[in-house]
Amino acid sequence: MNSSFFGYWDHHLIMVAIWITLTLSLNLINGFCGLFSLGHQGFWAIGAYAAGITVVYSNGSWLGFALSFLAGTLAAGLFGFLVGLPCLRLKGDYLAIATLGFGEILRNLVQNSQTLGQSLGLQVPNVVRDHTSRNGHACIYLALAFSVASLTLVVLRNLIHSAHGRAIQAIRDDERAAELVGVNLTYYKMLVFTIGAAFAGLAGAVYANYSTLVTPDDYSFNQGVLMVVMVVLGGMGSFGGTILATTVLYFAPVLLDLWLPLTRIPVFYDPTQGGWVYREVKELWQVFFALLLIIVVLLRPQGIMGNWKFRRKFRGGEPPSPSKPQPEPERAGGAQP
Amino acid sequence: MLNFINYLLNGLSLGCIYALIAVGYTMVYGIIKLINFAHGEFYMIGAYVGFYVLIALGGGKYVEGEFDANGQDMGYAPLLLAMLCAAIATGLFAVIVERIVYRPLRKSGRIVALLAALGVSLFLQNAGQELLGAKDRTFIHTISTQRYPRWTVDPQELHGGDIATSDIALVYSRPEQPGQVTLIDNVATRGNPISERSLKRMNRVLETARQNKMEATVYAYPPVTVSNRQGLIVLALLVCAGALYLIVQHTRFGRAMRAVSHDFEAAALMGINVDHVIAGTFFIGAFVAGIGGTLAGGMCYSIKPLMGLMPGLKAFVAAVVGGIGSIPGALLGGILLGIAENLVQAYFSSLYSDAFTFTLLILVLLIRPSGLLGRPPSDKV
Repeated sequence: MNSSFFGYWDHHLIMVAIWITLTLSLNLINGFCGLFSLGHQGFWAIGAYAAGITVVYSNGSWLGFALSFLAGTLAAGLFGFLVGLPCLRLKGDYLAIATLGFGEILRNLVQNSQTLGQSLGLQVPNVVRDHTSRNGHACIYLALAFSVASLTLVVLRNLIHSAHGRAIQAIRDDERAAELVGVNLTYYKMLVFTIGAAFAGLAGAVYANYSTLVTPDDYSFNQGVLMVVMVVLGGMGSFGGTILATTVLYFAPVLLDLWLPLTRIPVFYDPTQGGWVYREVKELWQVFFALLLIIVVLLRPQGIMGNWKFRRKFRGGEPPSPSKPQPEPERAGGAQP
Repeated sequence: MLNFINYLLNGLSLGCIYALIAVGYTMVYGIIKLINFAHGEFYMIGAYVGFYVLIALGGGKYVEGEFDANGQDMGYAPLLLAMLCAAIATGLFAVIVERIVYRPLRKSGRIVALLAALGVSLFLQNAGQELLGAKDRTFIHTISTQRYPRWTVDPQELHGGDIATSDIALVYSRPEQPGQVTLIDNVATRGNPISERSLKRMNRVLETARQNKMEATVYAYPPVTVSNRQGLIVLALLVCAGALYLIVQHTRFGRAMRAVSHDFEAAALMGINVDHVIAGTFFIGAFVAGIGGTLAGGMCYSIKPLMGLMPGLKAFVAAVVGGIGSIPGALLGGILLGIAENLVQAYFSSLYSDAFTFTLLILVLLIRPSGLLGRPPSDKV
């Protein structure tokens, strides 16, 4: 158990904790506040690069290591604020496109920055590994990654269950109605965007220190899409759903690889290549994933978990709310009603 | 100044490709308010269909880049046929995608439809990588690049050491393909002395050509030239723009399309078959993107399953710059974006052109969300 756990599962558990931090913070923006962001990978990248630079310039000392998390969080939060200032005036799909554009600008700038290692990436000194054994390193990062994920969950949950959280959800349900009852739209949108970005930056700091190499490809548009998909499949505005969807979607390719290693299945028939063309199951995961996304969106547009909450199910806390009148969804087709 | 004109011309042909993609974005957005992220992949499919049609027409031996060896190209007719097949196949493909994925979601929220579009885009990228191979495929060499204007020069008039007053190049054509000429050698560049060595080489080639009964000519070019590829792309864009204008403004279908984009429900109440109109819009948008894909394959010399990603996003920027929902806006935005990108690459830095494009997007969204030619959106409660 020991030998197979360390060196294989420890890595995946750490990564899944980092991803959960990311998707939880994205769920605050996308799910709870209804601001559709496609640029979350950008904040992740800023956190990772800020943390990496801090460790590099402190010559790999413990102080630098500790400060790097602060640096990553603050830098991403600051950027979230700066990007939010102009972008949050936009709505719906325009906001999605603007955040996407921001992510691409960032990647383009990083790719051409000498200090940040261009496309090759920024090499970060592995502070923990220099002072501990292989397994000690894994344990420290497991503890760190799960603490960060738990911290994110606790902070965001408390935020959502406070009066601020009600205001944030009101913005999602009906922006104009929320404004009419006195919710300060700009303040709450900026708050949500900054906090979400800061937690993504924290996740980036953990990732930079753990992986010891930060490359622009880790923060591509497709990573952002993956985060959005995890949030959506888990159900916008559901912490449990987000965690579940992130875990499932992260482990699905890992388990496919573990259970069906090198299994090849026929994909299509091509006479010029001598009959059926085979592909590894692992390679096909991306295709399955995209198909899964389409199917889920078609069958359950509210996400697999919807608004389902663990609390309601297991603790009997809140009574199940009587059929709440759903806001009329904005029509995809045609003019405004 | 002359360089500037050349950059403008290069930017124009890039911009025409953007414009051909942007048209589909803007039409679909105008009618169902959906940013169809899969549109860049339609363009990729167009390029691949064009590629395989050219292979089926026997283009396998005219691989781009190897044409110096045999000096042959396929000519315009196969390219036009490939473009047409690619356009129709891409259009039908888009109609199928619309029927399966977007139509059931029409009553759901816009964000849900946007996610579905992202899903389709991801699916096509990844399935394309599995089915077509992730590597770049070299495109078929359909037409040799010719530059115009040009005039013939008598080889006897060239003397070593003279300063060339214009670019001089040596081209030849085979007897079985008259009219199609291939560049062999640049003899001299404008403003530089003609070297004895290149003159000797030129005379040797001329002699060999005479012995093999091939026609070799020495051409002189002015500083600003337009290539036949650029001309073809601009022509394709003009034809598409004209056809779109006629369809949208002067046919029953176009009138129905305008009605649906103006007021979806009222149009349905007036007896317009909204499903057909939307399917038709997808068909036309993807048709134009398919033409763009084949042309881009011919212009960039290679195609790959991920080729739709960046041009797709940039064409979207072009559509926003021109005013999303407006077809002339998309054409104008595409051309302006192509030119602007080329000028940024030429005068500022070739590394930051992506950053420039997306900064432009954000600026336009903030300062003038309705774009150059778009109508400001009405925001009713």
